Amino acid sequence: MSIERRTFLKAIGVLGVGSLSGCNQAPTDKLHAYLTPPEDVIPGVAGFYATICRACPAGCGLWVKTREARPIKLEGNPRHPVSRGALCPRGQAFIQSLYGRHRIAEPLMRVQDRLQPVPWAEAVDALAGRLAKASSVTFLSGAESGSFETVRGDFLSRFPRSRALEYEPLGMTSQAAAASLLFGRSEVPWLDLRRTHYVLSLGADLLDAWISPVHLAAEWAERHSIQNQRALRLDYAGPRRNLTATAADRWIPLPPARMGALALALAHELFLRRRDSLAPEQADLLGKALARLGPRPAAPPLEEGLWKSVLGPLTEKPGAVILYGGAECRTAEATAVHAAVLLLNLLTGAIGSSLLFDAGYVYSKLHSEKKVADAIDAAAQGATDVLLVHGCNPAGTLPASLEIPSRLGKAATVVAMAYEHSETTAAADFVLPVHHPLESWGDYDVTRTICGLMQPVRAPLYKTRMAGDLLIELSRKTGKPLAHPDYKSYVTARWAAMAASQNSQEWEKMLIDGGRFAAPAPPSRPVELIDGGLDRLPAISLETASGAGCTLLAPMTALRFDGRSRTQDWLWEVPDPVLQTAWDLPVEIAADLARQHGIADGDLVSLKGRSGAVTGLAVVCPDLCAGTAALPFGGGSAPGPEENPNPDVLRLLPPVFDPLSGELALVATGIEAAKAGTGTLARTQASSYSDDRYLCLAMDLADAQAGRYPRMVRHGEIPASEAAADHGAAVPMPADDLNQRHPHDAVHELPDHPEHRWGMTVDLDRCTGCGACIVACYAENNVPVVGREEIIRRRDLAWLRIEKHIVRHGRGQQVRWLPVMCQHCTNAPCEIVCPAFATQHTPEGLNSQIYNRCVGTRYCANNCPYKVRRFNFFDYAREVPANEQLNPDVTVRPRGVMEKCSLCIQRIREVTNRAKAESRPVREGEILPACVQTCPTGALTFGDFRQESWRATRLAADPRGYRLLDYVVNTRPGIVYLRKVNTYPAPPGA
Amino acid sequence: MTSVNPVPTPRRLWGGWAGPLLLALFLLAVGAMLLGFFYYPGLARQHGRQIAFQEVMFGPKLEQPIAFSHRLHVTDKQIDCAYCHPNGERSPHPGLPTAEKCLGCHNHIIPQHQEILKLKQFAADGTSVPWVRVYYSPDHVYFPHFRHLKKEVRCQECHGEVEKTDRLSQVTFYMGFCVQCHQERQAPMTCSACHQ
Repeated sequence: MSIERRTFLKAIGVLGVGSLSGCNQAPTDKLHAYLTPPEDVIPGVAGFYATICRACPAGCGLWVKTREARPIKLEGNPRHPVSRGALCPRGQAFIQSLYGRHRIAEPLMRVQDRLQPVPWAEAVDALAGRLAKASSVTFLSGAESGSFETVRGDFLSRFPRSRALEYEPLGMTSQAAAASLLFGRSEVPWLDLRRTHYVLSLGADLLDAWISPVHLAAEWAERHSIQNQRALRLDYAGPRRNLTATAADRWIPLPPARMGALALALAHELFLRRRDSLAPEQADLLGKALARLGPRPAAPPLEEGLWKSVLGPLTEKPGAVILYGGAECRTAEATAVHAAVLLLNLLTGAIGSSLLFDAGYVYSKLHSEKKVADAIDAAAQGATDVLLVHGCNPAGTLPASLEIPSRLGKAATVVAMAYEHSETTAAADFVLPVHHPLESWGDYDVTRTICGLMQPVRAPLYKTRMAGDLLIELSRKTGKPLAHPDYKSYVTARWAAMAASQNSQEWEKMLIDGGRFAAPAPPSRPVELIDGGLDRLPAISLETASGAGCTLLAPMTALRFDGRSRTQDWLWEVPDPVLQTAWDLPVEIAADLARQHGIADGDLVSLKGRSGAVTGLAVVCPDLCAGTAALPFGGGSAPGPEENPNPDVLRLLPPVFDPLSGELALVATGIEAAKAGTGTLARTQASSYSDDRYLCLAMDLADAQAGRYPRMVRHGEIPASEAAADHGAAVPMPADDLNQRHPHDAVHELPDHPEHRWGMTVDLDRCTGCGACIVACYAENNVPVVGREEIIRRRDLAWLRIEKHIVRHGRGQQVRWLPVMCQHCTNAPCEIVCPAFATQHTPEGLNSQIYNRCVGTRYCANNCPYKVRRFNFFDYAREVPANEQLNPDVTVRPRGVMEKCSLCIQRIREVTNRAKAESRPVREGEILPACVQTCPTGALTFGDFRQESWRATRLAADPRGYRLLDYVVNTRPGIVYLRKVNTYPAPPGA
Repeated sequence: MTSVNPVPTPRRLWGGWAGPLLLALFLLAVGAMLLGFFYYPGLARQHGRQIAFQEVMFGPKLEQPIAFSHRLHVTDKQIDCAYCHPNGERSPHPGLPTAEKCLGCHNHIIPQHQEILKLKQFAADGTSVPWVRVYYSPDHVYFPHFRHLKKEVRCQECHGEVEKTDRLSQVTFYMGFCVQCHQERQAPMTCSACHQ
């Protein structure tokens, strides 16, 4: 017998595969047990610890979910009055900075003009040596309060000349300056929207990233909701159609330069109407202040109808709130506009009811960009011996034209205390790595009465120290020990003094609650105009300067903020809701500019200003005010996405400051835009127009209030208009479904749901499109980050996306958000095409995806009308230590399998298991999928549609409800959408 | 062959004995798989500890860092499983005994035994004992011990007669083993009951 060579090879191949498959031995893992059991850790059971989010100055409370002493997920602390259980996208992504690859692992010291790793002792000794000789020390930090203020004060008090500066790129220093001139109080009032009926926002993007986005979005949603009969209405006047503009009842396109004129006109108008009801002395002062700010315009700055409808709610009831101060409208006359707006608030009566002075709001004590730049200048000129920088990044947040890095290089000694590399650490002489806030003790007082307590939630990952401990050690080394031996003692001493009683239970209660909270009290003395600073009020320029070139805005968006979160990949992978671009930070170009320069979406555009130039990808925005370009904060190259450095707006901003407050102007004029080539945008949504499909529906408030709900359309019937695009709000339970049989149903046996029918409602009226749910989903479900190139190939793995829909609305257009996750169809198209039975309808109503059965045919994704199924084209390895963030309860999917939203099956299973172990039914509100848990506005509600009393079931039966595409494809989803309600009818016209 | 074509035509691919031989091998393999899939789980359960086919055929007795005997502790000393694996009723994982718990007894009982000295050395060094994992189920399986204990599934039903064994061999759980029991006891049979 002879064997051919080819036959032999084949036989070897078959036998080889067979024998290898037999070698699939279980890996020999090691199991490690504790030597001594920690008190509160049960392996396999998650623990939650309260602390504070430090991703922005808002100071939301956190609940950190830990497994086996490793933090894996951040959730909002429901007891903290700022976050109330919710978090914004940056808060959700904050945990990525703990495990990020930009962490500083060991101390660095500048030796021969290069930063080199040194042992801690050497770095501390060298620095202590310089501090011992220093007489002038400046401490520059981000917003800090509580114990850190104390230890910093103790540390600085040992030097003859010392000062502490606190700086945030989104500070409200102009508002404080205006309040100081008018009322003699240099502070930023605490904002409470629960008592007002109307908010007119002049560029204050309170639903994007403005001073306290979670808190303001929650208060807005609660009062604005249809359940609350639109108790609060919001009009947004601003240059960009951002999240606030789309969620507001009306968006009034208004360039930043005209905001002062509008505020002044409104203030004059209200003053005329209210003058007689004011105390005569106050009326005189008000008149004087208004006269300083400018004359009453001859004609109102808005068109007649709009002017009246804005003036209406301002005058008809006291308490209307006018806000100003977002990044995209911060001009060099911000103090003057703030003064006009504060006068307006005084006239409406909002000061004292919604704007609370004397609260000790953390924004009140911030210092302006000018002061910071001057302090760095002083250090560069040798007037300061040691400049310590902690918790802020002046070199990466101030305009490049100020040349902060080179000035820091000239300074005698610059010490950067940071947990991540940044432009500032690169320019420092000493880089002292500090604990991440999640590894530190501390506290953060948002106001005098809202005091948050921070506790470490894991052992330090690297050779870092707590910033407070570092100051204490440096003091000790210079021979001047501080009051307490370590920073934790500072914290415990302060909180012991604050506690009602001195037993240990009180301390534990504060740790569990995450702090001590009370509503800010009304001010002890009334807020009144005083005659001290009125003469120094500047005039508001009423003429819009028309020069060459376009106007550049520098917004701070919900995902980017001031750029400090740019090291967190989730925030790049999740597309910007307004532009639907991921990883790219495009230049937004107004339609007229685009026409003028021949720029189209995806072109490279160069922007040139007096102080620099950048090149970036362009997105043409028809919604941007004419002659305007916008480039959000958060670009720049280091550190950030390495593959695609984004244009940095700081290269364009000229060093122009508000003369009174020293606040940096973020609106630049005279910018030359030009086409510079073509490129490719990484977009996740190709089109925002749904053509003849009815996907993202709305109705008018008048109809909702009158009970005129859209007619029910049966399965298969094509609706005649948006108003009819609905097949009613039948709860997708078997009984209902059987009553409405579709001809196609003859071939399907509809499943029964004997015990539960899990489902969700999405209230489009509350959704602001912020994207917190998407980031939460990434964190909870181990969704990999695929990167820019894969997103261009449409291979992103997001389980939940927020679609942007542009819908014709009378004369204009309306932008609506539609969160789309797996619809968990009762009659699912994906299930019937799977050859491996990898996706099935469970008796609890979920469409389950079983990764180990999946063979990757992708038939299901092709047959899914919602395009929510995602395919793993690669194995996405997690770097060490980022793998520690993985949720152990969720399978990490390998290459070649399909994945999709599971409605957080692991959370459902955990609660049902617990309920069964305790022999009780599942309680309402016990199961919260990650997206529902984090939604600041409460747009998502999860529940069991078999429980008629549950909120989700009641909402699903709301006549606003509809199910996505069901009228065409008869899928009977378990997700019920509730229509957006338009407060105002569409403006007449084609 | 009288072809005018100068290129020799290859012979039949499965000519000679190779074809039947490979076919026989293939059938043998299929037969073994069918046997393993349908017959083996039941057989394995009857034999208690001997669960995995691979383990029966090739399974090594695992070398553990400390020569711990379950037979001695459970059968001779009558210690309950849950004394050393305490979290079974409140956690998905029953947990391993901490060194502190082991030494709670062994500081008094045979404290100078060479294996106990090893344990003391680990405790003194502050390193955990690197026990080699015995029972293995894949990552995509979620097995909550507390649910099974609540339903009064005895430990031995899955783990075999541990109490009769000195040195455990590595065991891999396969789905057929789980499914058979779930069918018998009318436990949830949906995929997402175990896979998430």
